Amino acid sequence: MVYWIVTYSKYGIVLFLMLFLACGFYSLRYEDVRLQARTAACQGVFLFLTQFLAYLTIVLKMQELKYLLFYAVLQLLTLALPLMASILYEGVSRILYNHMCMLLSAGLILLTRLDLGKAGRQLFIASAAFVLGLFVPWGMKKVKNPEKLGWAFAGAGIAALGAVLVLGQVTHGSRLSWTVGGITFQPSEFVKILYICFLAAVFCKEIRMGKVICSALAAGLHVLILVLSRDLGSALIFFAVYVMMLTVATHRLWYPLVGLVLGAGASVVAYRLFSHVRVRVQAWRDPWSVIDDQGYQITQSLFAISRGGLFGLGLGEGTPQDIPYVETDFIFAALAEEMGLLFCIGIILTGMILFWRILRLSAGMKEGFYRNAAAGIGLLYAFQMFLTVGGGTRFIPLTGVTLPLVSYGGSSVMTTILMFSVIQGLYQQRYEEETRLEKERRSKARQKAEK
Amino acid sequence: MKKKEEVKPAKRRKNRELYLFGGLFTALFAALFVYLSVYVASNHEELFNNSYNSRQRVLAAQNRRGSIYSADGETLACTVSEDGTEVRQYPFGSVFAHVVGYTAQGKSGLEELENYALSNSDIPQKERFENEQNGRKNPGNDVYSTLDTGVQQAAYDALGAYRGAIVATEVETGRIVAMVSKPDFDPNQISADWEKISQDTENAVLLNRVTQGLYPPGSTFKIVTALAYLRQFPDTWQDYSYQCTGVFQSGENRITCFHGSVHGQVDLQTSFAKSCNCSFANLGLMLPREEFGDTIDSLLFHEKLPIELPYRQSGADIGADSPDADVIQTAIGQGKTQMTPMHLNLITMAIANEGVLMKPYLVDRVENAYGEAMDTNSPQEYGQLLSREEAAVLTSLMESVVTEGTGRQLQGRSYTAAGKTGSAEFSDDTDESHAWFTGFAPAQDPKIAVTVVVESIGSGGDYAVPLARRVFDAYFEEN
Repeated sequence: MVYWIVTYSKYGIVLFLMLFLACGFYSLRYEDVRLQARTAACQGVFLFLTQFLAYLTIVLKMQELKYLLFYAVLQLLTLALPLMASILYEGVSRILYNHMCMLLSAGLILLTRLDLGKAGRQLFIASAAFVLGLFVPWGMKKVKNPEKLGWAFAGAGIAALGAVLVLGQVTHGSRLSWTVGGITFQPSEFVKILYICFLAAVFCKEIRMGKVICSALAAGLHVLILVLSRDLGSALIFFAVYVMMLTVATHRLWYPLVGLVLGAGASVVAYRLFSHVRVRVQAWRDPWSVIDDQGYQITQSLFAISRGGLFGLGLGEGTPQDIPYVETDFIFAALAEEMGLLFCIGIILTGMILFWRILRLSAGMKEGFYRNAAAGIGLLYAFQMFLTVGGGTRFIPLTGVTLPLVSYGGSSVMTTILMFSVIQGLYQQRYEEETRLEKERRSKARQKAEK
Repeated sequence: MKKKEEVKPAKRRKNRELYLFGGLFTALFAALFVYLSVYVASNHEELFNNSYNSRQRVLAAQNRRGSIYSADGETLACTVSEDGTEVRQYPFGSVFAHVVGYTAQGKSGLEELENYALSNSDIPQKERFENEQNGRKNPGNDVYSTLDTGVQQAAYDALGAYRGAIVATEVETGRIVAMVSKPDFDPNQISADWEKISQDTENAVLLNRVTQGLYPPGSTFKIVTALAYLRQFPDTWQDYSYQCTGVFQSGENRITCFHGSVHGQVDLQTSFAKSCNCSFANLGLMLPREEFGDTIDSLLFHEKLPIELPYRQSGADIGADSPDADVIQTAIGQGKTQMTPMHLNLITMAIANEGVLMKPYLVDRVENAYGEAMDTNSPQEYGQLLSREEAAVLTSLMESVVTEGTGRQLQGRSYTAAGKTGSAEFSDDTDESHAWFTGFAPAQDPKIAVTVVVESIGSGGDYAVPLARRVFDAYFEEN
């Protein structure tokens, strides 16, 4: 019995994920959260089944109580936290929570199997972020005119990044983190929020050339500091988000073309200037010739993906720990090895549905700060996902950024959850607006009838 | 109604860029999915066989490596447990050394080619479970090769203590029935002998000379020259005539016939049968350089060969600006011309099979431990290397080698053979030559193509043909 479960659960997991996705796609038909309620409930069941089957496999394999306890806590939190949100605020999107939970779970399942301690840490931070995120919709209502704070956001972001550049610790040759009271932060993650707020605010009203140049300089300063910190992946993300948000706000399609030319030029300069950029490009073009050093990580990642095949080797059956920094940079390859390519594609599709939800939310909003912010969050999310998955599979050169919500890393998880909390805040605002309009309409109709 | 129409275009414009980026990312991810699926599907085995991939070690701990069998059901390699440790055994010792290969100190031969099949175990899940419960290993998949122990043994014995190579293939299917390379080694002792073998660069014991030995082809290359001539003079080749005096002189270039023979008045067939160097030098110079080069190219000299074992690229170059000296040397397979026995065998196979080359292969099928076929190879056409008519003419030329030329030692058998001998000089310092023979039998309904090379021994007619005869004999005794 045990053996059968352990052997065949991987097919069940893929099946439930596919059903989960089917609900996700179906939900895209409706924009109104009230109409999504039943689909969301159904989807929640498949989320639960996926988690259950994966943890059943792990518990049966490991035969230790602590894994069962971990699962119990995880299950409780997955149920309780979104429930709490819907009690506190009417109109938040359950669908959005479901997708976030699925992505988090995929990462946690693999972390549990790799290192329970890390899984515990990740779960704790994610839960804390969720709780923190519950204050976000409230905070959004309190801050009346966020578009006026544009340059303050920029200043705070640049200051934070600059502080890390000067004082931060070096990990793997990059200056990324900062330890306060035993907890290590990676400020470039949190600065993403400030940065999106900054751009959302600046691109709010009429955008003249002077404004474009000023904002480009401020954004460029962000990018420059990141490049100096040797955090090239983040630098690329900040650059791309600037170009995309500018294009969305100005409706000018030649901006991305200019951005592309500038980006290509900057890449050439970076290639000439920095040896670690050349190493990355070399490891991308022909990792096999440098398999002992620069190509080691990417080739191990390719091995892992190929070992998995369509359905994976099964949880605990593979050797994902062969890949250096597997839980942060190569979680995708590890998932592919043990859960299979289909599961991985399912996880990316989960992310894509999330992305489209956010885009459509943004599309339905009036021009302004929050429309820009929502677009920025969605585009940043998609771009980062593409960088990490494409890099880990040798589709594009490796940049070493995390897969949001799935990869291990407190700062990254915290930042992503807070960003999505902003999205929930927007759902909630829209809901309030709609109910207000409906009430007005109804009272008008009543007045008419009385006349 | 009118109001609505006004609103709509404005709204679409407002979100145009947003949806454009949405579409862009969707397309990027779709491309990524396609790339990933194709990459994993097409490189699965190659990635598995990379020594940096830990999967091999993991599987070795779970499964017992499968066996390799000959086409006639004999065990060529198997894994047995001796006092709790696994030992790879090769019952035929050094007879199959290069083609079956080894799996200690790296891998070679079939052990390397079929590593994926041998490492994996396709037994039912239930069995697997029971094995895991009882701490037993799963039996790996078995490989059934196309090799025939009778023919292989005959080739092995025929070559005796000489250095060289013999390969025998079925021309209608491409099945490789024998492949011998000498000097050889005992795969049972590979680990113990490793230091000695791997450092012995002079004998190059580990080199599979069939696919990796580069030799000047000597007169066997006249097959290529003759084909070029046939293509150049399709209607008048029968009128070719040359007076051989034993010496050919063109400007400063001078060559002689083998061991000073004088052939007198010869046509194309006699030139070929008697292997007249002077006539072929003369004939080579009659060919336009580019056309000669094209014929060489058409016989896979500058292309990937359709063989799975590691091989070296043959070399024969004639271009528009090749000097006379090069053309004369190439026409008789000397100079810079170099070939592997396998490549010559491929050309012979195509001639024997009406111009169509069948892809040579070594593995008939892979079976799981219960004898269920997991993967079966069937004959595959590689392509038409020469026309049916050209193949027919070359066949008659090669027949005359046996009936009236240098291959007389193949006369009087139960089958009629056709072929070409070669005595390739490889150094200016010695009179010695490599003895070559390549040919097929029966001449009218060819079944098998055999290519033989014996290093530094003498003429092909004297030293290679008798070896080929023993291989043909062994094959036709069984079939």
